[in-house]
Amino acid sequence: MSTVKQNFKIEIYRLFIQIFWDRLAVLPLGYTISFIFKYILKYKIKNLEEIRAEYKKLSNTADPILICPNHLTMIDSNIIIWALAPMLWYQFNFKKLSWNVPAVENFKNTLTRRFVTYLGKCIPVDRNGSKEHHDMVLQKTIYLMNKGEVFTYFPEGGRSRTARIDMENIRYGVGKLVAEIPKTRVICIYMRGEGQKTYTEIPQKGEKFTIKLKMIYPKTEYTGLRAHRDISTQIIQTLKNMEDDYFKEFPDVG
Amino acid sequence: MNEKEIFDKVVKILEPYVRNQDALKSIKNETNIVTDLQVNSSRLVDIILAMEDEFDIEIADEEADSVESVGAAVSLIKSKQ
Repeated sequence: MSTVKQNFKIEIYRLFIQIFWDRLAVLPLGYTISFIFKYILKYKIKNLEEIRAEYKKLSNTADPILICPNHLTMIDSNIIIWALAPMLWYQFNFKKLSWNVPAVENFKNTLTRRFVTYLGKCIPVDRNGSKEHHDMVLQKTIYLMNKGEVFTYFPEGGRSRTARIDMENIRYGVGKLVAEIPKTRVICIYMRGEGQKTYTEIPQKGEKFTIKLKMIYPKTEYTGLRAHRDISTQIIQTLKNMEDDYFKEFPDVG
Repeated sequence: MNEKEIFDKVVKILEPYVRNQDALKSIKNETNIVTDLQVNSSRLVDIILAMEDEFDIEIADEEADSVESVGAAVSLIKSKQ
């Protein structure tokens, strides 16, 4: 067996060990984070029941699912997980609790964050890492998505410095991923707090969020890099359209 | 097409993406596209595709990864002509 295949096999074993611990941690970690959001940070999601009903419906499929949200704060993924379903539902629908691929520099120096990230279904990525590292992260993602695990990827790559979807600064990694996995359903999520005027570490205390979901099935006639660009553009354009609709509905916020 | 012509066309392709205009003025084969010209690395795909269109060539993903400097781009394009 080649070294690459051997390394991949080892990484998959490690992932299954991580999944074992993550399953045990769903309720204690999930309820702790939910408690912090709801009672300490006093976050509120305006259309919570509607979103949860929609996610249950959209995720009820055997097709691979990729969640693609806009990106404004460091805890967008956690808020989205909290919003999309109750923790108890995730306990019984564990594959629908989304994986995330956070940048390793955001947590590697803090033991608590590393611990929570390991237990929180994360595959860290080093943005300055080698091609082999990036390929391994991609292969792990593809492997898990083909097993029915939901993933979240931010098409913008990082938090938007303009606090709006920037069509000039999109990344094509999400397109590369979708191109590799046929029949991927992409759930575009636009989330914004009323007081979110720029990108921040975390949303302000007492923030009220509006969250919108839209499912798309990106298709392309291109191949290779053009396919990655075309698919990524379809996803980010959908988010841009959702953002435009948001500001038509709430012209006085943000 | 000679090397100078290829070089000039490559520079023209890179221009809209360059954030370090000083480095652009003194651009040469050794100039690194990301670190010297401060091109956003997420735009490298657009640059590769623009080169494919401009020179009517195909650049494989592995070849695209090797394009780190202006000279590397010029050499790659020349090898496909």
